[in-house]
Amino acid sequence: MKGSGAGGVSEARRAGSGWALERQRWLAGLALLLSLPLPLTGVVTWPVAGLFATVAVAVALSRRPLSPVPNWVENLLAPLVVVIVVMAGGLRFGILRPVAHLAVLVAAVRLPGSAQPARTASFAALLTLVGVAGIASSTHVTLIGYLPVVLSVVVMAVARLELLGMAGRLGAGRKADWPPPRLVVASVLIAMAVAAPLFALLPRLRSPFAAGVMTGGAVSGFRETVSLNNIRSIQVSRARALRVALEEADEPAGEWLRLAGATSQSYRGGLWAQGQLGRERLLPGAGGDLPLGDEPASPARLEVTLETPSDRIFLPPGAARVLLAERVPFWRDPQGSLGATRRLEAGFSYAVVFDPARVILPPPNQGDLEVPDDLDGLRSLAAGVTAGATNRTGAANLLEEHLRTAYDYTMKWPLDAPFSRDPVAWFLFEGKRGHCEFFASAMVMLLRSQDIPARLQTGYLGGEPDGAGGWVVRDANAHAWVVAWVDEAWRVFDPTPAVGRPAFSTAARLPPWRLTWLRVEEVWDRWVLTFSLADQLELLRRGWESAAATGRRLVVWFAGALAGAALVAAGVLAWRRRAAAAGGEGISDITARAVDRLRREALSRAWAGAGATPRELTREVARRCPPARASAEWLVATHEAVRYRGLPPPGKAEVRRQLRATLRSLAGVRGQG
Amino acid sequence: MSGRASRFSLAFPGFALTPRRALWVFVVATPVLAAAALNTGNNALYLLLSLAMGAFVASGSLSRHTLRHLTARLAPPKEVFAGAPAPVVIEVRNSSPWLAATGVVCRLVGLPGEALIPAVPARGATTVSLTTAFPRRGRHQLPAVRIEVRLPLPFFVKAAVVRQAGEALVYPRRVLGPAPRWTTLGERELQGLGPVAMRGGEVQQLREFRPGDDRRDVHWKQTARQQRPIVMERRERRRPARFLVLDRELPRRDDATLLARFEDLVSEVATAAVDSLRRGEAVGLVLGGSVVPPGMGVAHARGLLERLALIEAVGPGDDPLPPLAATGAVYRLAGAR
Repeated sequence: MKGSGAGGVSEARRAGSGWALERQRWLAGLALLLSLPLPLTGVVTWPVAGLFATVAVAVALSRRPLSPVPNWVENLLAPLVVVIVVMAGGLRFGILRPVAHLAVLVAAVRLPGSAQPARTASFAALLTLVGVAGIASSTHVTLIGYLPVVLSVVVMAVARLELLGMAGRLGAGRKADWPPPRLVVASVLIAMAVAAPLFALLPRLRSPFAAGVMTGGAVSGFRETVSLNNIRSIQVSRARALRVALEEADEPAGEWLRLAGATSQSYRGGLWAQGQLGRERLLPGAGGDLPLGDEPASPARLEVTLETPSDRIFLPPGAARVLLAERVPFWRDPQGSLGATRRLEAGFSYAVVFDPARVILPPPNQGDLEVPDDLDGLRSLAAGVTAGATNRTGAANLLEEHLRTAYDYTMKWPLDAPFSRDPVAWFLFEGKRGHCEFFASAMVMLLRSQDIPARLQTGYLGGEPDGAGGWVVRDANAHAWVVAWVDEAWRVFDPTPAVGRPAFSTAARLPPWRLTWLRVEEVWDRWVLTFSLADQLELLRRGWESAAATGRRLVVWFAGALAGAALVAAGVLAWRRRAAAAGGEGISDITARAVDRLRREALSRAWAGAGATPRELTREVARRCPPARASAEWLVATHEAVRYRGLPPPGKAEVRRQLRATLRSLAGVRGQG
Repeated sequence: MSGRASRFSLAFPGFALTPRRALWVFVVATPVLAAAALNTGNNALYLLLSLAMGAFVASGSLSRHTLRHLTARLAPPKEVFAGAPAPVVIEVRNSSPWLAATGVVCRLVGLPGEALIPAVPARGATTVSLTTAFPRRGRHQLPAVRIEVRLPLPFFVKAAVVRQAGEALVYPRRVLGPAPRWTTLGERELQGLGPVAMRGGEVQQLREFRPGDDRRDVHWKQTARQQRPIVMERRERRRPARFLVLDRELPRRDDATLLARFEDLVSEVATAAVDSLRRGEAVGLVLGGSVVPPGMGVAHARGLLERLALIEAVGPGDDPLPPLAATGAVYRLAGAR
């Protein structure tokens, strides 16, 4: 006995160790899966993510349950964790990045030993934080595949761990089972089926948020105010900004997909600002016609639809006329920027008639020649570059070429432009690298230093086919360029190197799979990433309109469906009751049911406890209600005879008669304790 | 003997939800996630929030499906003594056409004992045995079976109580007591006990079977020949007739202390009877005015235990002992007379 007992204990210990090892492996696997998006979105740096992955793999491959890291080691590692978080950017780039780093590093420290029951819950909370950070910073369409995979693995892991725990507590050393694959698949399918309408119905109080790469910070879409020291990663966002249709050409030629949203003249301390002085109010004509310049000799035409709310409309530099479906008042400032006097919701569309060969802007003024005083060396640099130029156009071309070739385009972020220096001066003389706004701003300053009027334009360049004959312009197509007054006309210059200029891809060049993928991304961007309150209202409006259109027929259908559902429900209910009655007690149980009825009656009067035996019950009934004695005793005696002596059951009618007699007698003493 | 969990789902009683820690984590985490989604407008967070709520609904509906298709049937033990471990067998049947029930826990309502069933296949059944203990002797309604499921996500322990029709007869508690106190009845009393007590000796005559005759005295050849049950009537033989005598009469029936002591006496008598029968000694039983003649064998033991399981205390003078038995060694409460 002693030997077998010791063997049992050691077997239980072995089983417990096996369960702990499996729990440890599941947690390590989940850690790997949940941390996957973090380095891909850039919210966690690759070295930190790599460190975490290494720890997770090591823990997963361990052949024994690991002990937690000792407290003194954790205490030693704590300052190191803080240092790594600070080195990764600290709070400079918003809250998500440091929180994600912190969560990943703490999870890496606490992963060994996480299989211990007392530590599993806290580690699971850490993992949840890691997973939420990864998902919150993801904007890629693959998220729609990643989420079901995560859910299925989580369901599998949680169910398996639960079964392991139950086997440990109740299984008496029995091997734990696996959750059935059907259960996991059904869980994921039901969850997704419920999640889809919930996603559409959950209230949106803010504009859709698109997370920027590296920081996870918000990409806010087009901003007319260019702040070089504080640019976010708008240029890597896939959020849709515009939809463009070309009326007379299948593919946009040259500059057709260059759409300006703002023209800036005033530059101070790294900021291109737009003032409100001198704005004129424009009201479209009766047909929504808004003239901006002379009618071009060979006009082209674009149809533009806003995909995100904006107070701007985006026009080609040569826009001569805007045709609005809705008569919205606009303003135009002296630099030629055009804005609406109210916010334009997503879906607002307009047509533009423009001259692809011209730039239509108000003529230059003194403000187009202003250069900040602290830009030392600007004039000498510009003079040196334009030494061989014979005219303004030549000088502008030389400056454009110089910037394209002598400076590097980078989206690497953060750019380490010091706050104490003017960003343009830093770009030209120290950093010599930057993004399009640095290039365009520098060229404007260089042109002005040579007395060539110039302005900065921001907007979108390029796009990609939407698969339906139109073009999608995304936030990633945001760009900045220069308009300069040369040869008595405004002309567009784009000093950003080719690698940094948003391109447009053409449908003809794309393989079919790429087109399909583009459509998928289109749906993802349109109906998930940028799904907003306006979309919700639009869906409701459409639903209401279709209901109103269907009208009476819908009511009839609805009533019919309701009646049908009620009939089916009643049928199912009746069938279940019948099945329950048929599959339940047989004729021999009639006396048991009668005694049970007697028991309930006694219980309701608090004459007997729930555990009273039938004889105790009968005795109490007889004591408190003597007239019921005979029938109650008959019921119990008959029941015992049927149950224990194997005698045939009496007729139903007789049992019912005796039961009724008992209940009638009892009714006479109701309320008497 | 069986009931279906789905019957309870119609009216809902019997279906219970017991929150677990995962639920409180979910209850706290979901509003935080919702606040983050609302505050940032991040649709990825909205997706995550929707999926979390979807997973909650999926877990509830699937566990409900599992529970609705489970049926439990309790097979009571053939012999059970009060307070002693009693193995019972529960058959759990899963009528779901497609989903196996995993991690099903069965408990007896009001009694100790629980068991884990790792899996009940779809359209299949699994049996599990668990050990319980009935606290008191007597005829008990079979305990309801509480079926619990936790998967797929353990936010709740979802349970359905499946009531069991039928009863179990629980024999008196077995105790470690002193040697039995015997009473021997006189010849006159023995004559009144009928032919069962008189079995033995040479065959005197053959006659037709009468109710009460010992079936072991059936003369099978004559029965077959005459096509009616014929028994052998034997010459009377004096046999050692030892009886355990229990006085049912209590001075007061509403005294809980006296009733508890009476229970102890019943337990002592039952223990003595079982021990003697196991030693191969014939034992009779006198319970108040009723007398069970001495006998041996399993059936006799069962008969004695059934009587002792169902015996109840009575008031003074309600069921006096036979005169001769009253003078011998009697199991009786001190001071009862």
